Amino acid sequence: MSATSQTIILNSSDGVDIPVDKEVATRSVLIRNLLEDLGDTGEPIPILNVNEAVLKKVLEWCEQHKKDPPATNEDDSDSRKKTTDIDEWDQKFMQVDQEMLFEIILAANYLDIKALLDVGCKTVANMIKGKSPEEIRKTFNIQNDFTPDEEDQIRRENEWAEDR
Amino acid sequence: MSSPKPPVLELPKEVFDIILSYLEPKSLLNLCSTCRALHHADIRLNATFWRQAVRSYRVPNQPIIEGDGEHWQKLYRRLVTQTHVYTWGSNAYGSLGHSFEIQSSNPGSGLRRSHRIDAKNVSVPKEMDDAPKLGVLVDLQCTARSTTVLTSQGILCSVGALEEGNRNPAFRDLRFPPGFPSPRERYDPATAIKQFSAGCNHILALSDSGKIWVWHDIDQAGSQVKFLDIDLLEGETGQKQGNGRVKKVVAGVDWVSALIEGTGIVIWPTQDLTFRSDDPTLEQDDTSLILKSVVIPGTSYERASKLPSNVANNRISNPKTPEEFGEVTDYLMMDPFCAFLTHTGRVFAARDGPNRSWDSEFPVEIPVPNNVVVKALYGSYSGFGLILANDDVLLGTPNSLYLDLLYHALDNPFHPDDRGPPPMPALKRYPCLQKRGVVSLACGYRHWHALLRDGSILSGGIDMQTCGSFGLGGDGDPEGRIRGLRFRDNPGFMGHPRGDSSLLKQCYAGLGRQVWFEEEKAAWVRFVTSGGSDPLEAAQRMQICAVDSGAQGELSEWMEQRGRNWERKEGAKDYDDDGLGPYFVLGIAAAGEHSGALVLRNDELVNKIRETCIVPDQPPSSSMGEVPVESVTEDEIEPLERSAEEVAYGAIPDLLDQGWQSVRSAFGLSPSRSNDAPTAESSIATYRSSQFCDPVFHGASPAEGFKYTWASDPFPRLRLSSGVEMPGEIPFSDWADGPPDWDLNFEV
Repeated sequence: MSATSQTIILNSSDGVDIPVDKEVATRSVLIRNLLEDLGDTGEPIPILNVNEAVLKKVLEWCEQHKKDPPATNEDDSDSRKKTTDIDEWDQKFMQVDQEMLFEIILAANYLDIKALLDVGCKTVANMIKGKSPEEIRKTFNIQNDFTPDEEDQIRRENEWAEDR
Repeated sequence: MSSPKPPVLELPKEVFDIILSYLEPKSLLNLCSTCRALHHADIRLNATFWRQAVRSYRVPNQPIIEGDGEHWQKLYRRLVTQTHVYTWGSNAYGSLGHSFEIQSSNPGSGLRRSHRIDAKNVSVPKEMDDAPKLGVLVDLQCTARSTTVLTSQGILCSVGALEEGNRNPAFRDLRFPPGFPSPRERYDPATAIKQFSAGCNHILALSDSGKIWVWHDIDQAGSQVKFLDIDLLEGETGQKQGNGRVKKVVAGVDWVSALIEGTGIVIWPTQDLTFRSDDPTLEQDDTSLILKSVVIPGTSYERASKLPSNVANNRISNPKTPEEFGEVTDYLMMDPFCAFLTHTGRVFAARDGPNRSWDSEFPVEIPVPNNVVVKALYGSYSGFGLILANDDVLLGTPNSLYLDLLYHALDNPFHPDDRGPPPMPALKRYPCLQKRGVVSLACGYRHWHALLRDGSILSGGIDMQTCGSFGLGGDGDPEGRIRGLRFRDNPGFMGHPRGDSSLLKQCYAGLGRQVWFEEEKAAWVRFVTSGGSDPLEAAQRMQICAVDSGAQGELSEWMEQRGRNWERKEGAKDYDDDGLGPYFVLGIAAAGEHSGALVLRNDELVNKIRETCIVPDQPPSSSMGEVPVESVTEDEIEPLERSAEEVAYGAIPDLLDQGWQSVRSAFGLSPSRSNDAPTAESSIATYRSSQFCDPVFHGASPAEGFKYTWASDPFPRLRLSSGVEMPGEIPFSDWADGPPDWDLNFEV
């Protein structure tokens, strides 16, 4: 029964039990710490902030990346630019509607899955890069609440950064 | 009922900060311009974001103001709006981007004519004439005969000459074939350049979309490079990853190359490149198709995860597989060699074997003492340097000599007469570069520069034909000697009338020799070199420094110490609000016999320091620097309208002309040829000689009615470390940082 002993059950915020390999689930630092603190009791682990659809999506990512080495605190303060390159598989994984994208990001943050959080944030960053303020508003459905004068002043303030 | 907030505005701050960390400044500002919530100072002036943006230019952190976002944003604005380009060295092909108007006359005919000549060599940094008009400059590189800058818009602009074509003393955009828009007209990922490499005669570039471009003539459109046997992966924004993605391009001398994901370092000879001509009657392709290329063995490995690994524990000697070599993170073409650094912190070399067989053997490791991890590999087609994890620096210059010796030692493990294997060559370890925070290196044909974390540049190597490639002075003037240059006992290269110079060993023993950008500092060097306030009193001391290299070395160290304390001027510090000093070098480049630097200049501080150097002149005075003379600013000088005899200085011109000739003689230079047939060069020499008696030329005064604060200072009188006391009637000179205590037990 070794296979069964490697399976744990996660209980989503909408009350659905989801069995998952322990190796996959422990990509989440939150779940790993819970298992270490409470022991593997066989009881479902409540994931309070993540619903079934999002949790399944997150676990799909964890399954794909279960063999990745654990993240370290790399000091990249001297790197010239942080790259927004995303692996091909991850790019396809993130091709979801915006609501799901932000749900995945929030879930990754809650479950403490740094690599997934980074991929999500890179995806959002790529949606912003190269766009004008108006294009960004359209992309994220942001209401322009500046007065025309304010907008003009901000444009002048930012002139130095044009074509930089 | 108000509509719900968009999800992007509901993100927790810690998540939003991660998103910001992946944006470039313009995108952040555009994001902040969308609505009031995102225009908040916590986002717009996010200290972490702007500090990172500034630090990407290698500007040191300032812990005291680490959280002051407004300060970091202001500093970033300075970085992108106040960067200047300086060049120096040989200008034989107009590669320095300098020119000046000079009035010349023919004394024999009495005719005077005005014509434009290109400035020849420049031995101290001088700003490139047109660079400020090009936009924000993000990179600078040199080929043997040109200088090329990359703008933030992805435009490449060159001066000088490449393999073919005329010399261009003014910047020109490198062009693309018909059908490809210039990045100056509009952004197109196919033509916006994100990385480039200047080889000996070619410019090789990589566009945002992943296209490889190459130029061999500044005036002709470039060609895009494609391979018969390798498919390149191109994407709209260059964000695609996977096999075929070009990661970097590097040009050498007769070979050029690309690092391609999944393949490794791919090289091909420049003779296989084809180029378009501007002849509209010819039917031409815009592509240079490479039928046969070579892959350097062991360079194809890609890590599954870019996370750092504990490489020290996995050291495999004589690696044979790509995984054992590690993932290539940087490399140089120095044909017939290629050197590459992998993520394991080791550097390897491959060589061109018989029949272009680069792939006939595995690359060999360049040994580093104690196997210290190599952090960075820098250099060009003519030399390389390694920056180690322990802050040491090793140089493999000049040219491929070191690699020649390394391969010779490896090829001959057994000496025929049993005297043991030939010794392994050692990389050069200059004391002035060790534990100094070197962040970048640049290698010319025989000279090199090191950029330090504090934004200063050190020079070394050999100054070919004494053309001024060190940026320390030279080019026929004696100023370079007082910085430590000494003629080598060799004839000039290719029959050039002037021989080479090198720095004295003492110059590398201490802090090294720093390139100075201040015009006043150049005037001060000229003043001291000319003998100070009383050249006749100083004549014996100057003579000692000319014949005794030990005395010259100590004098140059004394000058170095004084020069390095230059910015400690009263009141100037208040204007140095970002702590970067008047000139902070962001990047360096060198090739052939010239060099260049991207420099952040604080004009307010530069002016303030200048003001502290200048005081009103108070005639009359007995010292030469205080003689009330008809002096003018540099802009107003009309040098040949009045001869030396016409200048009413009484006996001083004769004395000073003798002084000028004796200074040249004392520093090993031939007398001025003022009586020779007039040429552009001899006109300049005559001008210089005649102007020696002018305090402006002499470095004692900036303009009529003013003098420099050092105008009354004598030529230094030192107690030498040998115990010898320099002769003279003046008190001994103080050392700014104490007399040197050198250990000269190292190879140069």
